[in-house]
Amino acid sequence: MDGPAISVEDLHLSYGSGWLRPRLAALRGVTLALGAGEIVAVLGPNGSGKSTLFKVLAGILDPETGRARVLGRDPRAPGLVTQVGYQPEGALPYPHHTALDLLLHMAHHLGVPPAAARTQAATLLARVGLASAAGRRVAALSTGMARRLGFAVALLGTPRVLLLDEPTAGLDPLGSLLVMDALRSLAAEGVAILLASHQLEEVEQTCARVILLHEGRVQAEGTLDALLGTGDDLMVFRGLDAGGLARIRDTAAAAGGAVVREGRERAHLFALFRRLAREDA
Amino acid sequence: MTPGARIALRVARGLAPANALALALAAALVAWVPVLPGGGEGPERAAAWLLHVPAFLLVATALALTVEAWPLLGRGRPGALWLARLPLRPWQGCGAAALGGLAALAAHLAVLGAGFALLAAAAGLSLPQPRLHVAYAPEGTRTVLAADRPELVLRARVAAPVTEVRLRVRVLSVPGTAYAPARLELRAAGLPAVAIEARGSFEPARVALPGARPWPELTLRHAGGAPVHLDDDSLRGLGGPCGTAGANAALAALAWLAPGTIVAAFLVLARGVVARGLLEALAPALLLLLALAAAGPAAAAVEALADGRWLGSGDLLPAALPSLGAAASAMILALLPLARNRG
Repeated sequence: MDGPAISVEDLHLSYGSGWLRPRLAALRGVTLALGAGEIVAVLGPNGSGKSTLFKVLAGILDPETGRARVLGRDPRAPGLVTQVGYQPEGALPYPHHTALDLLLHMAHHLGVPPAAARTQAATLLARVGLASAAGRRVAALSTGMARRLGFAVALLGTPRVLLLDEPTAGLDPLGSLLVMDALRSLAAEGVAILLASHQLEEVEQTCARVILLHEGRVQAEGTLDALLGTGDDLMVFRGLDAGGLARIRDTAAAAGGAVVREGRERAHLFALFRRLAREDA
Repeated sequence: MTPGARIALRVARGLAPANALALALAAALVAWVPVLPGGGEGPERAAAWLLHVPAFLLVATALALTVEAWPLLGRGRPGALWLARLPLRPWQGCGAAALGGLAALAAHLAVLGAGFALLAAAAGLSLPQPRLHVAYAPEGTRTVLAADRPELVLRARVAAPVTEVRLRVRVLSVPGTAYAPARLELRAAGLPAVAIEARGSFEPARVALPGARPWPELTLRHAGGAPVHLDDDSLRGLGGPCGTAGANAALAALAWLAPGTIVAAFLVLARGVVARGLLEALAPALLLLLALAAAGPAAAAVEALADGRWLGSGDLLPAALPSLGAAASAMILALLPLARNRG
């Protein structure tokens, strides 16, 4: 397929009939496109239409007007479910199943042959760090473990597109790191990934492009550089004493500029977690 | 494993403690029967009717477990979004869930029925040994025997060997005359007439017949006293023993599948507009209404159990077909428009 993996043109969708429930416009003319191998984040406050957009792309909701295409086809097209992984927000189905049974059950729904399903389920459980929890009931998993299991469910089949609605919500930093690393690796294999998140730091580190939704409209869209701009030039010095720093201030003033902010740099906690996780691995 | 099979296993596992509770309840009720007012008169018959209580409990629990096991049964359920996008064929979605739940219920109802018979026997209230029953229907439309209409010919509905005839008639009182027991005569081809006295309505009278052979036609003659009215159950031929009381009780309990199926059809129909909690509350309420209205074959099956009528002879299933057919049609109709909407 040569076209975009996901394309949406002027999408409109409202909830409520206007009779018993007031009509609420969730999407008002959303347009976007996403190519293979791209990771794009949809950002926006609660109620901005992110989950509704994902439901349309997953084939759960029909738009009132506008056009949505996933891998060049209608999102409800038969056979697309195995090529489009979807992780909705909220709880997993079958809380009484074990983690492994849930994967097998969902693989059955997707039409994955039993032998292949068993192999893939074991691989995915290991990929999301849940190999040791394969026999644990879904209801007994922690929030983060359940979210990782949901991510594994989204990877069942042979997804070429991933729709992930807050995949790292409730995850600890190591869990988030695991999911984000997996996303980068999947994107490198050519999988198109659209994700909604409130974890802005993760988005900055993982996504090349973001789409800002507000009240059902695309408020801004573009690469992080384009959206955030380059701002002030930044220089980091190491090994200077107070006298050396004073001379730099003087130099800056002589060149017609100024040092506007000074401080001691401290490593981010996330970077610490990342380093520890890699050492552990 | 298919979704329906997984749900069947889930419901079967969940029903195990409910069945143990239902049997414990049945044991308590059966032990209580002899002290019921009137319990001394045919306590076995009263005991059979108590099967309704644990069966109701079991069916209601099975329906609640089915709703809980399948997130698409009930609007806005947690986890439903995962399944809502899947291209489930009609009998893979809510239909499979309902069938899975009903299959598990069937297995547990059979166990409940057999267990109930054992408990009743342990309490000294053995359920009647089942026998083959042959119903005799009056020829024509007349159903009253009186001095001015003294004779009725009754024909057997099926040709099966019988060894005994049981007569249970309604004795009618005539205004302005003193009450007198009805005196009747039963005639069968080649046999001398047998006199029968009916003192009160539905008092059973039994007449032994020689040998064990089909008697296609019997004649009842009014020989004095009060007039009597005959219904479909008034004259029955009783054949030899069939099966065991435990097997008969299991079949009677299985008749509860019919109201269970009707309510399951309702759950499938209502799933898109009703939340889970409300569905779980409506299911037992609807089941209770069906039980009170004696809709479906459950009441007739338990009556047959109390009566010692062998349920495996097959005349109960045709009676259940209309209600089962209506439930199945409702389910299919509910699922047809959802081939696209994934349910």
